[in-house]
Amino acid sequence: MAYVDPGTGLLAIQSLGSMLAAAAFFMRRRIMALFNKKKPLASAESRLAVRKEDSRNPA
Amino acid sequence: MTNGAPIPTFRDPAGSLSLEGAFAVRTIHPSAHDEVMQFVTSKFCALLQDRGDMIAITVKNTTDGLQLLHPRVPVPTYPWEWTPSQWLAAAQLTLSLCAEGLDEGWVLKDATPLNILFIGSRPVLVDVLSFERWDPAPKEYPSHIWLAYGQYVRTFLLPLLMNRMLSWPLELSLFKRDGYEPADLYKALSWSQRLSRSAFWPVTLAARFDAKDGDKSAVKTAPQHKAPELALHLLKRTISSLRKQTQRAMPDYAGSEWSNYTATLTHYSAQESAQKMDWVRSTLQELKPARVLDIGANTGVFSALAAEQGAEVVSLERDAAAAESLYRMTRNSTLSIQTIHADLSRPTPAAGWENHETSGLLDRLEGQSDLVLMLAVIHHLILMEQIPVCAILDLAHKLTSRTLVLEWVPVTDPMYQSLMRGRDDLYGSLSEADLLKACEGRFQTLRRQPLENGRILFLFAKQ
Repeated sequence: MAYVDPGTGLLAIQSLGSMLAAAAFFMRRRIMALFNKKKPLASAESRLAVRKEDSRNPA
Repeated sequence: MTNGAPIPTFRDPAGSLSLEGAFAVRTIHPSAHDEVMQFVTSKFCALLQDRGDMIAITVKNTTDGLQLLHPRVPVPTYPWEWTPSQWLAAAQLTLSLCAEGLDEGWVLKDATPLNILFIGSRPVLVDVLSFERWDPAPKEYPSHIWLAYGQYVRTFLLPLLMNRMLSWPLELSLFKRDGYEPADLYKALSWSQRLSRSAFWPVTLAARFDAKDGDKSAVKTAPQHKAPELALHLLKRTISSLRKQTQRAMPDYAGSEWSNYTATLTHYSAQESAQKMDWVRSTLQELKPARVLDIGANTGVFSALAAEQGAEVVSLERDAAAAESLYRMTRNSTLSIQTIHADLSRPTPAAGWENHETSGLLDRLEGQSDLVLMLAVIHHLILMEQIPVCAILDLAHKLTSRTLVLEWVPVTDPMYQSLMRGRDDLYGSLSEADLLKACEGRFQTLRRQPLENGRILFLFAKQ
């Protein structure tokens, strides 16, 4: 419940600030995701390496 | 002395506060019972009380409903009696508690300096009903909006900003319960000020939006909610941004006038100063007062002396620079000293609805101290404020419950001469005998110590 006067202009600048912060939040997530793509690649490579090692050590 | 105790509060729909004996009693309205109980029994609430960031709470269930009892703060002060650093401390506490509350599922529903009182040099949240459950999907507004944002900006940020940019005194907050509107400030600023980093966002942009959307409803319907995680992130970003803006709104005290203030205040030689200090210290050691009121405390040298002897000290100083310096000294120490920026000759009046929402300064000070210090202040009251000696002694008699330490400044004193400014006919013959005559029926002289510079220190007992 709005107990205190939220104002008009002040509510608008808060919304504007939040929009900017939300945009930054998503941009950062995208950038982080770009770097995080290396991890699945790395893990795939390591899995491949394990398989190769396995193939070199037949029982 | 004037209007007595404030009337019960009436604005908060969750409850009402009244002062009853040793307690401030908060009566909770039935509609808010469950939510208030959830908060006061939460670990978060207990943590804030343990840390001293929030006033202590005792829950009492009565036939009239739920009541919360708080200990009375001996001498409450209001924002119009605070220095800029006290405003900043209160603002930082408000924002910190709000950010911390969000982690625990609580949010501040209002954010005004009137929710804070100082105990010693420490700000304390006293309006415990300010916390309400944070709703991740409210019906009336988007979940990433902090409804108290506007009130915080109006009542904390903009007064500080106008104090910095236009030298508008913080005392004006007495007349502005809900703070300044951005549109009013926009008109007062020059173009370069409007475009400055400090004012562009909270004043210029807000005033432009006000002008554009003035006829629309402030809170729009059918809000678009963000995911709770994102909404929380945005709320915390909002609070973090407010913290930075508030810090930037603080006046800059780096100038030489400020840094030299303490050095230029004294009118004593080192030897005379030591003599006065020794006498006051030995008097305090002997009397061991529990509560001291230091009138004209200056930068707090004698307040600190009293606090070091174990007293809880209230320091009154009318000069803004000296009061700010005093608060900064107390904030960095463990001494129990509460700063009040106010003028004894023009004390802050009772205010609010029918002058009964907040009490006048003298009502709050009367009888609260067992020792009153009036060092190097009486000649200012006599010569600058033109208060008769007997009226000064009369007020001192009301303020102290036991003793008064007073420094008498003779007519020959250079400071007295400079303040007299040619009014010799009126004030040139005032003598110690006039002081002692004014004490008749009010005070008994216990001790008299002349100093080498001609001034005289008195210890009086209240009759």
